[in-house]
Amino acid sequence: MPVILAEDLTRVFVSHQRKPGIAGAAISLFSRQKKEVLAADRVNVKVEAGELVGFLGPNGAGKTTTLKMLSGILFPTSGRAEVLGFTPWERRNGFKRQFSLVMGQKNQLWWDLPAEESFLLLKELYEIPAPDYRQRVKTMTELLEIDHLLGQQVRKLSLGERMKCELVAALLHRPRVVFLDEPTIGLDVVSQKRIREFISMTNRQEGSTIILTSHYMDDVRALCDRVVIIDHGRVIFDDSLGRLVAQFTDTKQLRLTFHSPVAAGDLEPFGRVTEREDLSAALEIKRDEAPRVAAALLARLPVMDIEITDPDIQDVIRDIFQRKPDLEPQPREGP
Amino acid sequence: MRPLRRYLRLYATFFRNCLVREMEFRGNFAANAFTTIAWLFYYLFFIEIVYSHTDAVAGWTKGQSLILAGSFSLAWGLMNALFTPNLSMLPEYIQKGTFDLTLTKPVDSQFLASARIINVAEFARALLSVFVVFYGVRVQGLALTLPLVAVYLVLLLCSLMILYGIDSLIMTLAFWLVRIRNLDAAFWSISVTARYPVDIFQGVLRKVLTFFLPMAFVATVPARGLAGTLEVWMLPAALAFAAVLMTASRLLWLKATRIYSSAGG
Repeated sequence: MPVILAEDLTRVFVSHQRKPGIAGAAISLFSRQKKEVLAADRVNVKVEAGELVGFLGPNGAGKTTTLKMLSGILFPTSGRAEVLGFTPWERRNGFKRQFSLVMGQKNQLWWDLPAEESFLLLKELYEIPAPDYRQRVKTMTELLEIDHLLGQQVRKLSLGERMKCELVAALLHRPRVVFLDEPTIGLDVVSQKRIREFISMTNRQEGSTIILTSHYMDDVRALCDRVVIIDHGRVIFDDSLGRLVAQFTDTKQLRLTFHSPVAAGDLEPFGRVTEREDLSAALEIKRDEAPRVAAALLARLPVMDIEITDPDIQDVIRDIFQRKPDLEPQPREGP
Repeated sequence: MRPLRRYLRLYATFFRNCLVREMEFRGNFAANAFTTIAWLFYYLFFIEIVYSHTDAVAGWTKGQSLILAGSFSLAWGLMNALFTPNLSMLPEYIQKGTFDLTLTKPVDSQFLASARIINVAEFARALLSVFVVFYGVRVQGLALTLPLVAVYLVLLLCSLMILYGIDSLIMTLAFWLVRIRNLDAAFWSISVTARYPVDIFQGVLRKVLTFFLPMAFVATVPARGLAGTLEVWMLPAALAFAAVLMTASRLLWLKATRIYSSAGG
């Protein structure tokens, strides 16, 4: 039984368009053009208990819209979804008690209050027993090294500290499902790393099912076993990161270091040269030719070190979104 | 935990949160309390002046006017303490999308959105208003019997529900309209008329105030209830208005949260 199930989830937003300028404003009093935006287009996703899934996609792709439907914030235009056995937009308290939503750009903690006061409110909202509450606050704040900040007004905290407090707040009631919408956005590198570790630990120790949306590849690489790519409202990929590379490219990268300088002309017969310096180079070659070309390079050039890697995931995804013609999903050759 | 007990505990936590917050801004708290109390004294002074020249205004004696002033201040004091700070923030929450998080909490969203912020300074005003009412009772030489006080309290409760009902109906429109500021301002300017006994208005305006905008019920009717000059139809009418407005408010809220389309990506 999947914990999260989305079936043909679709959401259309209607917005009213008007022409710019004063004339446009006047005209808009009488007639406005309706513009329909298909934010989510028959999204199908199944997540099992304990999985940590990444939702990737450019801005406006529909990731956040999908999360909002799964949280019950938005009604879908059509389709169905089930989270922990509930239909999210029925907004049953029984459902809300078991999940949590963290939005990187919207805070739930009160600006003018110390974090611990906001925690108290959450304790009451979720009916967390006092000893359990105290222990959770202590454990989580110590882990994130914010235990000394709880008495300070939230507005006096740095962005990273605030986000850590938001995370603690979201996890106080031991939610079985956690939706994290861009949790590390705008944070410094150190905070990002700490938060990633915290999320990973939560997933492992508590077995919570987590969906994470992010722009940062490092988040996804560090945390997600599985990646769902959404673009223009549609799911265009749903599998592991490794498969992402295999499915969307048919090239490999060869990184070479040399004993002595090698001329460009010597390298070009072997493949497409993407980088070249005196004593190092990078070549792009077709995946199935990699072993043969590598062997040839080792035989004919003064190679000191050779590394065969997949293209960088970030580049792959960027190319997907820019719809490079040679990056249609390749039919995978069977083993 | 049984629902009522849970909601009471939650409310106590709201109160505690707000007290902590007010204490962080001590100067602001004192200034607020001072301002609201100053207004009350201003109005008392006004009554003293008027009644030094005459015994009655539109059939209202000084004592009755004091009861009216006190009741008006009490009803609005409670409204501003409990509900106004929340309802006035609603359009901003909707515009910024922070309302999303209200919808994910395991508690009734209308409750959370309407009751979370408590303006503690206004309670000072409300308390003082109670004294003004007592003063008016004394000036009038009324005997306070239990049924009289009971009727007064019921009518006051109706007043609070009417004020909440109207304000929440207007502010809930923020879900559909982006800018509510004008409607809000209109509500406030009309509500000021509740300060006066509706009897001083004649003809159409009086009928409008009595029936369409139940402002008359906010202060005039409870005051008449205590003063003993209540007309038979007023109590059921007050109850009816309160019931209708609260129901309408609830229905509109449910509809609004259904069509909510959230802001931001």
